[in-house]
Amino acid sequence: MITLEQVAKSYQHQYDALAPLSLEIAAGEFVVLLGSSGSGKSTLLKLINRLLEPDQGEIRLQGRPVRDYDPVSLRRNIGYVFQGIGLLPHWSVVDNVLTVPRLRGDDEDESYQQAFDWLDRVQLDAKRYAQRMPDELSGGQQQRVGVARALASGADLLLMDEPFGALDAITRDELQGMLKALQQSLNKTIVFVTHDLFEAIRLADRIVVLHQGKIEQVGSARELINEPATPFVENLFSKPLQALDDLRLR
Amino acid sequence: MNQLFAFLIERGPALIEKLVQHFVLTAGSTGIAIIIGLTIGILLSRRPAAQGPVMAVINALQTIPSLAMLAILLPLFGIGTLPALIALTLYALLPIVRNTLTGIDGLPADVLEACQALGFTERQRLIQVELPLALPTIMAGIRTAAVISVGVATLAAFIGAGGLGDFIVRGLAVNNNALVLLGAVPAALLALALDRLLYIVQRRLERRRNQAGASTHPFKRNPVALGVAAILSAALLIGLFAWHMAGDARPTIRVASKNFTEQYILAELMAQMLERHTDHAVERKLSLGSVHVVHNAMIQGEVDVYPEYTGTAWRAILGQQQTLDSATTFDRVQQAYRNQYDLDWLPAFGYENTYAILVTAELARTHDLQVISDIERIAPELVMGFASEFYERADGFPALRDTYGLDFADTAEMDIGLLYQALREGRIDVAAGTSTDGRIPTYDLVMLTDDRGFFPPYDAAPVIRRGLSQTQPDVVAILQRLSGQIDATAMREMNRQVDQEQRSAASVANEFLRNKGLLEPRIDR
Repeated sequence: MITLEQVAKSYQHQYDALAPLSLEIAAGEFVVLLGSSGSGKSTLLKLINRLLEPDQGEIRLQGRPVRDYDPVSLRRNIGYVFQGIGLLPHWSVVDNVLTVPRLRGDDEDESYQQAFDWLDRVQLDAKRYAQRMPDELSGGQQQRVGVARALASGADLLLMDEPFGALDAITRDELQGMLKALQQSLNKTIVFVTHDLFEAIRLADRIVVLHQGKIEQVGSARELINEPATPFVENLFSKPLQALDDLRLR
Repeated sequence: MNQLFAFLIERGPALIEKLVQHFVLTAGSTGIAIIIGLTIGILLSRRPAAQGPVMAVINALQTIPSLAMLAILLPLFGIGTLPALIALTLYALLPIVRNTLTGIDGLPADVLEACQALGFTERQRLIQVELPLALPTIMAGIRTAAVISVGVATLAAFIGAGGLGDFIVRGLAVNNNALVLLGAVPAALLALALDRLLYIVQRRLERRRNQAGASTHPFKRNPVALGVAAILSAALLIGLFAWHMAGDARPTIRVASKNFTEQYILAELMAQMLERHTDHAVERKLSLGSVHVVHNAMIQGEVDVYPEYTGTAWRAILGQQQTLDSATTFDRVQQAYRNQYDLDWLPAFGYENTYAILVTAELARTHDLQVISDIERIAPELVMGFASEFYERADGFPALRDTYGLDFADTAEMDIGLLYQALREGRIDVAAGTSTDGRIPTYDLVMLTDDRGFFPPYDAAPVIRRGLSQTQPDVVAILQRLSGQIDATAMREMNRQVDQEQRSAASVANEFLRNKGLLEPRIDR
């Protein structure tokens, strides 16, 4: 579905730059980009929907280079969930969910019905919350709306930039469960950025470990833990796991 | 209390007219400033590099004193509503541009990023997100602009744009505090009302915004569409008003005056005669700032007729230094005006209103003052007061000082309406007043004789545009009926009734015409 070929992006300040790297993401796959801040994981995500343009290399979506797409319509057909909440504060919940269908000029009545369905799917009581304003909702509820908004575009591909980073542990756990279930039942392709090791392990079909703009290793959680390709990956997983083991033994 | 009611009843219709004019000036200029200011503000938010220079220019405009601004616009746009609207619009721009820019630039970066990632176009982002979110800040700017406009619009009276400022200027000119308040109080109330009204509009827009999802109707969904519609309809109203003003088919005679009591009365006399005896519509353009403002307005064809004094024309307009007798001066002035300015002098009203060098009777007694030369020896102990205009004119203070060798301790420029009171209260010792002022006998003032023939004769007469006098002989015929009808005593009495009994110039003029039988019967044409 997505192919990155020798893609590089540099900044004057080096932070969040990408060395030339290649990556293949299949349809229906849940891929997590794992790395610390400045590793280039957000840069990589933003190259896919042309929020950033690469210095070199090519990104293809469904076999077609993204630079051949009109950036606006490209973005309207890719769901995006933000690190901050990113809801428009002057619009009600249902208006936020309807953002992209309205930008595209979709049929209003139909979109409106679907918006209620999407709210139900992210387990938010549509009848109760549809007309509320974002600031009347908890952080977890707001991010459910964020996910519903991304799904309401009808996109097969969702880009998620540390969406649960600002939530408390319990709420984050609920949303992770909900997201994984939705992804499997709807068969969406998701590229998900996080610095949280356990979030990556829980959600990913495949994890891409990024460090200083380079891919350290790509693989399932099991592969990364059992067959680390580099000392960085080994370190990344062994220390927290060791800590857990220590607790269990005690 | 009864006096107050009588006053309000007498001035009621005029008050409503001026209030409407004031509102049109204010709303019109604010409306135009909203359209221009929003546009500039939005463009600037897209072009950060241009912000500094453009804001510097707009800030600089704001620092020009309002009267200076009007003076700058006068030669370009003449007198009347247009230059007033332009000046007011320029003042209203700053708060609107600045608040639009601040409102948009101050929006959280993550909201704007989200818009980009969701696939908003520039335009969709501006209209659906940036403007609605910046709305409270923008509306605050618009409210500031409207309140500033109400205040500055009171100065529009100086260039004949009407409005509540007419009362204030006239009230100051005739030293009538009630009249000043009649302009100032409604202006203050208008400012409060506009601010409140705009606040309600703002709340409604915000509520619309918050109930956005309930409907798909564009106005309910999109507060900006509503705002734009409101602005457009305001602009439309203004356009209709302007069209109406321009489209009045009847030939309108525009009677002008300078801004002091006697001029108001003379203008009223002429206006009421024309209203009574002709079918022309009569428009009053009273309170124009000075002889030069009225003269320019006449040449530009913006007003048609006004009362002038031969000596003023002789010295201030024609720049002549000699002093000739009354009839010769009139002939020469008439000739020169016809040839140089295409203006006609009609036969004089019948009295002279010369500049009068005035002192209190007490000072005259103490120092045995009879002629102007007599004050030369005591001038270094005296303060002389005069209206600002008197300083600038060719027949004004510097020439007078040189002719008589007067070396005063100090001079004071003040409003002509306050001059007499200042003299009576001893705040000044000598004043350059006018000989027909009703306050000369009342305040027990003495007029010193012009023993060196400094002042030319100042016979009062109507000046009319030849474009009108040649095509509308009926107008000339009617105005000629006033010729020789007014003597100095009658004029002084009329001035006194306005200045001291606080009557309106219109009713004093009307009484005079009725007593003279000039209103009846209607003259056959």
